[in-house]
Amino acid sequence: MSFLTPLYLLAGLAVLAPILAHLIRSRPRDVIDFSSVLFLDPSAPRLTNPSRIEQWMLLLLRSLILLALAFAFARPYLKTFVQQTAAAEPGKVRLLLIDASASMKRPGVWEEAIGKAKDYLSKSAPADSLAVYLLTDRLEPVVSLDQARQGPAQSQALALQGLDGLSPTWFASDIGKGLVQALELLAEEPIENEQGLGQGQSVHAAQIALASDFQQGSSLETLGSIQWPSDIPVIPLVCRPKLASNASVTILSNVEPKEQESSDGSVRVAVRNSIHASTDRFRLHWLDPTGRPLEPNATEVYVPAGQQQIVSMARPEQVDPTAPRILELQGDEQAFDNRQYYYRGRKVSAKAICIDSRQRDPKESLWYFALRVPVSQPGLEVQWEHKDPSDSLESDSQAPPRWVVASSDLSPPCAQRLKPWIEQGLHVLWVLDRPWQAEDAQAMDLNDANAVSVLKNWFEEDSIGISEADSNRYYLLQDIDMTHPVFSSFADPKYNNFTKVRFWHHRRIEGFDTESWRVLAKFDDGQAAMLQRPLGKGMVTMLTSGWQPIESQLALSSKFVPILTSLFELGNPPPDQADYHCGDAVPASLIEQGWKSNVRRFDTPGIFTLNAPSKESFAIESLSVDPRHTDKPLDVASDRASLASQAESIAVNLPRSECITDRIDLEEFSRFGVPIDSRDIKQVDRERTSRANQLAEQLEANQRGWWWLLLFVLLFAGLESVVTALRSRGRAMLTPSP
Amino acid sequence: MSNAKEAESDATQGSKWIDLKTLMAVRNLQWRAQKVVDGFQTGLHRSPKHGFSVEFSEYRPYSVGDDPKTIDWKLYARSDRYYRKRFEDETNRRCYLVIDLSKSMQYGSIAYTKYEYARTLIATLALFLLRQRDAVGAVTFDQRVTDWLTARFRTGQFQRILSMLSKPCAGQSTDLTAPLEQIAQLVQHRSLIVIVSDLMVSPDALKAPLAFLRARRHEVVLLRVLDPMELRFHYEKPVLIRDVESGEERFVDPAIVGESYQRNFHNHRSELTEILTPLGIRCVDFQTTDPMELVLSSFLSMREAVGSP
Repeated sequence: MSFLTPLYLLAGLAVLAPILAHLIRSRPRDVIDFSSVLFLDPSAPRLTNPSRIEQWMLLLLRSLILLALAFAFARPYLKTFVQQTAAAEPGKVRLLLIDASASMKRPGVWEEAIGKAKDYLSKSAPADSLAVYLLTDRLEPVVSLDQARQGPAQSQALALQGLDGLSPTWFASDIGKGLVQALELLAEEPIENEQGLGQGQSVHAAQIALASDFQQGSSLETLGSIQWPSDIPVIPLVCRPKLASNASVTILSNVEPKEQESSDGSVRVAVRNSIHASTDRFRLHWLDPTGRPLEPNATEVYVPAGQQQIVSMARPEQVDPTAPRILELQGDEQAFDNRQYYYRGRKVSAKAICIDSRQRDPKESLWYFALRVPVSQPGLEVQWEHKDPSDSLESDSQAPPRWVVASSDLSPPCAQRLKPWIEQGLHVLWVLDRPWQAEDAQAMDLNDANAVSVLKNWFEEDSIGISEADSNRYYLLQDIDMTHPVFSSFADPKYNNFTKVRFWHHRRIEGFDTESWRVLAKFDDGQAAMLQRPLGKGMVTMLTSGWQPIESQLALSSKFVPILTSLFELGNPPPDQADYHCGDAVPASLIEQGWKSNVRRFDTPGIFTLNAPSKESFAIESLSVDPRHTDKPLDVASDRASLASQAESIAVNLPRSECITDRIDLEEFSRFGVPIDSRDIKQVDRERTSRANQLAEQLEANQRGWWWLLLFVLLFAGLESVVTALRSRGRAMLTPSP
Repeated sequence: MSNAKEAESDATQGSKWIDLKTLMAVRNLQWRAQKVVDGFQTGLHRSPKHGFSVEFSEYRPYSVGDDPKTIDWKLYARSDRYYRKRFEDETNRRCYLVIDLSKSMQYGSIAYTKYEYARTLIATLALFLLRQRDAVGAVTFDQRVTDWLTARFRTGQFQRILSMLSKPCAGQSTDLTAPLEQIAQLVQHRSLIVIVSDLMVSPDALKAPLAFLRARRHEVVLLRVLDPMELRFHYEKPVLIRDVESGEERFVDPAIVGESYQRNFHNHRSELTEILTPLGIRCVDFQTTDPMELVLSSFLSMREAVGSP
């Protein structure tokens, strides 16, 4: 027996009214004279002794009327098996994501996050499968979905146990990416996938809860790449820091490498203050890696709340500009983002060679355009050198070039000289920029002979034949391999239109080994336009048409510079930046240089110094030997390390996004179509209760117990009337008529 | 009081005394008094209990050795027996009959009120005393003395008393202090002062004026007239009671108040006794259902106990 609206049962207390009415003696109407009230104590109308209740039957009937009315309003119903089956509601899959980014290190935030997470877990139904993941810029399982699926009964205890011992990291948080990954994990849920997602019943089947400070630095952009299912709500467990104010410092040189340091050694620094800041005056100090101030006076900065101020910080005097140092912001109470670690190594000079004939008209030559392509990189200053095929490559310097671009004029001796370099890792772009159907046979023979001999020299292939393609029409590129690094930057549909790049002439290459050569692009006649083949540790890339205007529109196209730059970077990966951020993968090049790491990613901000003479000892123990966990394969030539600049120190900073600690408006999620269930856990419980109520209403509507009770009310009321009438008649008969 | 109780039990038997209901139904006060006194004196001879009283000793049958002058020959003429009446000529006394006219005396739960009973009693006493050749005066009072009749023994005194008693009871509240002080000032000679009242006042208020009277060497007798309902306070159901003097209304549940009423009543009576005993004043309670002869008898016995002035 249950009641739909049990509060109405309180109305049953009204039964006291008739009981009191029966107990209270009515005030006598007649007044009796008495000689004196001298001996009388005053007495209020009092309840009489219960035994003096005279109208037992009437009292019983009236009480029954009121009780039946109260019961009828409470709408009783009998629990049936329907409700029992409803109670055995299938469990949900609850995915709890806990933001473990650096901003969660603010005082009080992590504790609140863990508290809310425990609260959320403890209020889940026993049949729910609970998985817990840490969210940084990726998801890391604490209790994975597989574990949760194996034992839903124990998953709650497992999840609660998993929360102990967790702590925030120094990584950035990417809420959008984390949510998308969580959704992918849920999509791999076999049961829910079949039952819920498609049938609109998974509203109660899957749920993602996110315990985070929802700082604005967390990116949500990834959410735009998917269509979020409307039936998987995200429950935000918002954690607020004890202090809302926060200021952070960022060295802007990290943003623009070319302007990283001006001529006088000053560095531009951005100081950001939060919207809810309580202070607006700060000081900036340069410290050495041990934390000792490098100069006595600090730079005062005034940053109003919610604004950002750019400050030019002068290099401390008598300090080597290439020495690592620390910039510290003082005056802010949230210390986690008040230090910036700064290190700039020396720049390394290198050269790239363009081998082309000087006798040609510059506008019709290859070098004229190639030499204008900027291929310098941060920390690497690349100088172009134009060499005639007749020039000796040996005479310039001992150091091999970083890149070689050769025209059709490449001579066999020159190719012979290049071969060992290529085998050691040099990349060569060989452009067949001369028409093969030359007017004089001698020249044609020379070309043919040169090309074949070069190919034979390099690859020992005799079967390759080169011929001029039909030049009656222009050609366009097709079948471009967008997965290749050279063209990957054009993969976006906005940039992959190559139809404006027309080729007037090109060469046909036949008989090449298709397994050895990789065709990166073809012309629309099916002939290879760009093809590539490794040689030793190096690489040879062939372009079967020139880029000068007499050959094609490539040099005049906006695609030209990116293609050449990509080709350069293919052989010269961008030097490892001097600034790293927590969460960045430890690059393989560092391992090459003798750095060793037992972590895949930088996990602590700071300045780490390699003891250069021995290459064995390390300043920071967290970077110790374990090359197994490197993210990138070690396919870089070993001697490239000697070519590249060597980093003796690295500065690892907090991700810049973590410094923006103002809270995201949760409406942002709805902009990406993510249904935010902003109700708190109590509300969710209330909803569960309301569902139970709906079921109870259904049962009550089927049984209609209150109808019967109303019938009883009418019956009792009728009986009461009869009894009252009988009693009054009996009294009238007993009273003698005057 | 034991006599009164016995008399009451006898009255219920209705064999020895005049039926009070019948008596009170007669409006003529003189007739009532005469009937009572006559009956009393007649019954005196038949009563097996008459020998204990000093007053009766004055009517003691003559015995040999007694002075034959003391024989009441008139009585002998009626009864053919010798009775001595020694004091008749010796002890003429002054007696003031004081009656309370306050409104509380108008209360009566039976066919007649306390006032009706009291004035019958006064008339009876007056007649009885006058027949004894005592000088009898009468005083009525409510808050103050309203009528005054000096004690005399003369023809027509009884009629004057009756005339005074025929006035309606028009007083307000019971206040014995002022009237008693007035009486003390007005009565110059030693007298017997019989006060008939319900004494519905605080006992303390009585102390000073009664002491004053006693200081003037008056003999004081209090005859307290009470309605049976005042003694028992028996109601079936809660009632709203109005004080006839003050008009104050009080809701009373007898089931609750009954016991406290009895307790208060007896406390009041005890306090009265405590005050009157040291003063040498006796107070006798009567119900309006008690036979007049019984009251008369009690009065005589009380006089005997107190002693003649």
